[in-house]
Amino acid sequence: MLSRRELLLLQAAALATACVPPGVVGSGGPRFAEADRALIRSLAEAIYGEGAARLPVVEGVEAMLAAMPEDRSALVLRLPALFDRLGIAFGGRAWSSLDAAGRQALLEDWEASTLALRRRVVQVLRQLILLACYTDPATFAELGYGGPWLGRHPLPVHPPRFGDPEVGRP
Amino acid sequence: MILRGAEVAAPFRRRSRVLVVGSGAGGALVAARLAERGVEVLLVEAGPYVGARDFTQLEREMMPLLYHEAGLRQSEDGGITVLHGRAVGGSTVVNYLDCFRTPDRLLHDWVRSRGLPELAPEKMRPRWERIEAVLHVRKMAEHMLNPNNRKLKLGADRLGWKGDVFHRNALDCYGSGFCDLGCAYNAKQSAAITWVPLALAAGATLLCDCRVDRVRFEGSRAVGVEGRLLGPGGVGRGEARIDADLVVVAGGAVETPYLLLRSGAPDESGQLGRNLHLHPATAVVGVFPEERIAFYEGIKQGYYVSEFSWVLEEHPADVLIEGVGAPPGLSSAIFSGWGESRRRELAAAYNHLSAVGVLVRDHQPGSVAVGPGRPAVHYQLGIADAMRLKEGMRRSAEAWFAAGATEVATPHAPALRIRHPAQALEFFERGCGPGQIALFTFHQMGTARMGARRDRDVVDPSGRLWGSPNLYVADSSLFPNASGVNPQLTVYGLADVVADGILAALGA
Repeated sequence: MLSRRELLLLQAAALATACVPPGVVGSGGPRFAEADRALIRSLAEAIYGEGAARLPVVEGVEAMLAAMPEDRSALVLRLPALFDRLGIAFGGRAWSSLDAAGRQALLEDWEASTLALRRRVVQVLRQLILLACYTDPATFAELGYGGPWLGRHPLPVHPPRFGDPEVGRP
Repeated sequence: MILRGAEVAAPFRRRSRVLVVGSGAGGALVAARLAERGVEVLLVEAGPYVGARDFTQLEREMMPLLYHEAGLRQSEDGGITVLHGRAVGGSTVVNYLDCFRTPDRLLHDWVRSRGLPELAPEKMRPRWERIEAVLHVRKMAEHMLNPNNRKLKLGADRLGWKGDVFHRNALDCYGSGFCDLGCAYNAKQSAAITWVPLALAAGATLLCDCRVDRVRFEGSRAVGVEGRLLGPGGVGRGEARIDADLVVVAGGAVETPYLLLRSGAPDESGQLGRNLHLHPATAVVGVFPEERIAFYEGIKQGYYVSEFSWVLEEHPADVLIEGVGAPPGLSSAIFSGWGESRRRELAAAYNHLSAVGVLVRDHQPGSVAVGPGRPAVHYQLGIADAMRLKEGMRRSAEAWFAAGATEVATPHAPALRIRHPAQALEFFERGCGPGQIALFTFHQMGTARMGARRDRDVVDPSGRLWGSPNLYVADSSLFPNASGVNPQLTVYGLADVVADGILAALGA
């Protein structure tokens, strides 16, 4: 159950977020607003670590949003703004005004929150950003992950036992 | 014949005697069995028809191609990620090939509690034999265990726990370790390269890249479906309308109730979409700093601990522990923490991690409802199920320490690392709610459960929807409750029962 204070904060945050122009879903797929793109890049530094700036994190997250239903992707497009506004509501300081240590402390504070909404916001941002980073082949080497076998280990493809219905197809 | 949504003329109009919606384990088997008996069948699939040549072994390309919502589908409260396949062959294209016959203990329960005598073990046995022959199910050779699964076996053996290597539907598997991204070598005997070609060879037609939006009813009788042909990128490019004498819905335990509910299908028991079981699962990671494990290499799921399973060993904990590996994106969730310190720690440890999946046979169900343009999965881990999860995690940690791990990590938030089995009691102090632990489901079951009572069950013992003369369900929705083991063979087995029911109804 939410406390009265948390309910009031949520209402305030919802109002604040409603005033924020969200990203758009255009013909090129979901796209974050410019301010949110910068916020995601800075979040990626705080969540993934150094080197995030060299990765196309925003584009990676946008590609994932393209596979989500519209209401979900619209919600995620608003998440950076929600995170920023709620940061002010809960901690009194905006994400952008914090140094690296302050940002980490804020993320830790959110993930340990008793309020499920706060935990969920950082969990979703964390999940999307880490997925965008670690599915990028540029990060494979530091993990010692070799990536696809294809091209490294030439192995024959077994013929399907019950025939290939695609045989003869161009 | 194969038709593709991107290629056929729009609007698409077709009539078929039988229409099967969904080409996963259940739908593909039903289509093959009906076609082999000379029944005209049209098999419709929302996903693409992809094969070995399309599987690049890269997550960022395969996840959007092969999984619903790129593998990011979540329950409404965000507490659990719902992974299921979306391609010709359904989840059999992306599963880890684990093949359990439905345990006798569970079948006896279903016979007794749901009035399903056809599911008695002795009646199911010949079905398993036929199905396993098509799928080439064999017990995996122990020497094929990768270091991760060998560690699990070592820990279990030292603790005197029961366990075994998996039976798998593979043929000449190279052990490349990309099962979850589609098998690029056709070693995995998925429905896409077994039952689907069998259906096509027997005269069935496959229409892929076609999303079914609604089953059309005249009174209680299903008369066909309406949907959208999908072009490149899944963009709708025209209407599809298919008429049929008999409709089989086999989209899985999330998509099937979603389709039937928004179609206004008969629901005499009021249970359609309810009784959703998910086998909620999480990972427990052991750290072996001196050894190269590389859990993503080789056969990712090779060994399981049955000691704490009710359906296998009658243990009240009711959890199954399975060795597991995943490529970097999927596995990024299993190592908590933030920023540069987390990145460096993960980079140093990645090839020294062992992982198990703890799979709970959940007793408290959730539900599937119609959401805004998508299925809404409502699910909360019940208190008793959360205790099962924690007990499974504690046991997993015990196994890793017994195998020599120096540390055990879990996907809790905030991060949790322990260095001694006794510290695993801390799992019981932590919550399992949204944002407190990474939970996944690879098995969705039970939303159109089979049973003999129309006031209590959704489909009858032949798979026909109670209240409709000609609509059948043939997927994991049929499960009366959670199977407690990987459900692939159970889906095939129940679909085989449903195929018999349909053939009898058609007089074929």
